[in-house]
Amino acid sequence: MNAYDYIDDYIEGSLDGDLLKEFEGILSEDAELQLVVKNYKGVKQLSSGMLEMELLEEVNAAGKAYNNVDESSGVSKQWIVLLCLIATMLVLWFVLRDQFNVPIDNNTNQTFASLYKEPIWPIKRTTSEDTIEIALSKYINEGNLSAAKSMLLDISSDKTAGRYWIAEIYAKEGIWDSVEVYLPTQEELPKSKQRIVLLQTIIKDLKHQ
Amino acid sequence: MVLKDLMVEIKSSKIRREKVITMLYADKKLRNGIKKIVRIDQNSKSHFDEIFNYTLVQFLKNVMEKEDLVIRENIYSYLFGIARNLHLMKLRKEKRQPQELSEKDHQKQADDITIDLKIMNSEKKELIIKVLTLMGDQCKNILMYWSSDYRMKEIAELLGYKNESSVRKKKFDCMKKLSHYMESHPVTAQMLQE
Repeated sequence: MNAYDYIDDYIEGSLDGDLLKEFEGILSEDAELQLVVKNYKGVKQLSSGMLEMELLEEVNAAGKAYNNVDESSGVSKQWIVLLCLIATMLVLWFVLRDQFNVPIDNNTNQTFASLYKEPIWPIKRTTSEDTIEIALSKYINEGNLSAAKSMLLDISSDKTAGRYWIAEIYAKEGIWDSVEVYLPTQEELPKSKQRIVLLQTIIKDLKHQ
Repeated sequence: MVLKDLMVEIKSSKIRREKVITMLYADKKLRNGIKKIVRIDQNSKSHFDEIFNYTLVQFLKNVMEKEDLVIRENIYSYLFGIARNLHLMKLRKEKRQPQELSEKDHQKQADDITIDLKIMNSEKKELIIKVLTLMGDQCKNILMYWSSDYRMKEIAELLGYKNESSVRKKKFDCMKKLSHYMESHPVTAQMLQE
């Protein structure tokens, strides 16, 4: 008999009769078999432990794969949130952009009314009046446009400022062709840049209508 | 999947068992349930991972080793029972009181679910790892299926041996190898008997 075929049965006590006698006969002479029988319980415990280790490795591997997928889906979610945020901002910009732009009406008068703002007329600002103040006073207080214009054109010290105020007078009158003629560029009069841009915008819009 | 089919899959082969593990690992109900059980240490993800992983190992081991395993309730109740017992065992080991567990929880703990994982004991785990490095894969596979009471014929089919006789012969050689190791390491042998 191959004794190693019957070790389990012998340990379990399910071996009997001739088989048991034969097994015990071999056992009494076989040192290796004695060794295995002696350590049977410990070997089984160790083997069971090996199964646990194997299962733990399989579970850990599944855990690693799960966490990787979870993390990558987390990254995907972050990207989706970011894209949604960008899309929302684009929609908001599209909806609200007109509120930040200068409104353009179809009607010329409406455009003028909505865009044109009175400048701060430099009249009586100081005790010592200069030519510009006097000229503008002629226009504002006396309604004498031509006199004011003549005086402003005669200013030799600051021709650009003179032209600018003539443009403002024509803007107040709504004579935009003349505004365009006299209005200096931003580079020529940087201190009035914003005002010049506004007047240029009005002229441009009126041309398009 | 029906519990009975699940158990058949676990026993059938390593590949099919791994599929079951993957499925269980991603089961939200199972994960959330075990998270509730380990709520005392909810700040510790490593504690949850440990309990979750050992729960699966104990479940798989029970399915593989106990041919007469009967799961009366559904699989979740059974797995939660394992997790709860593992959790309480760990708390006791750390000499902490599971104060946050209600009386009901304690009653539930008195299930017939036994925790018998050797690898929960760090010394035994180290020993097993040490022995594993000495054994080849063939020995490891044969012995672990043998310890799970698989029939020689089943082991032959699972591991691709020609016949049962070859498995028996190999098994005996592996047992001898381990026995020699234990003879030369009596402390190891003693530890395993405990």
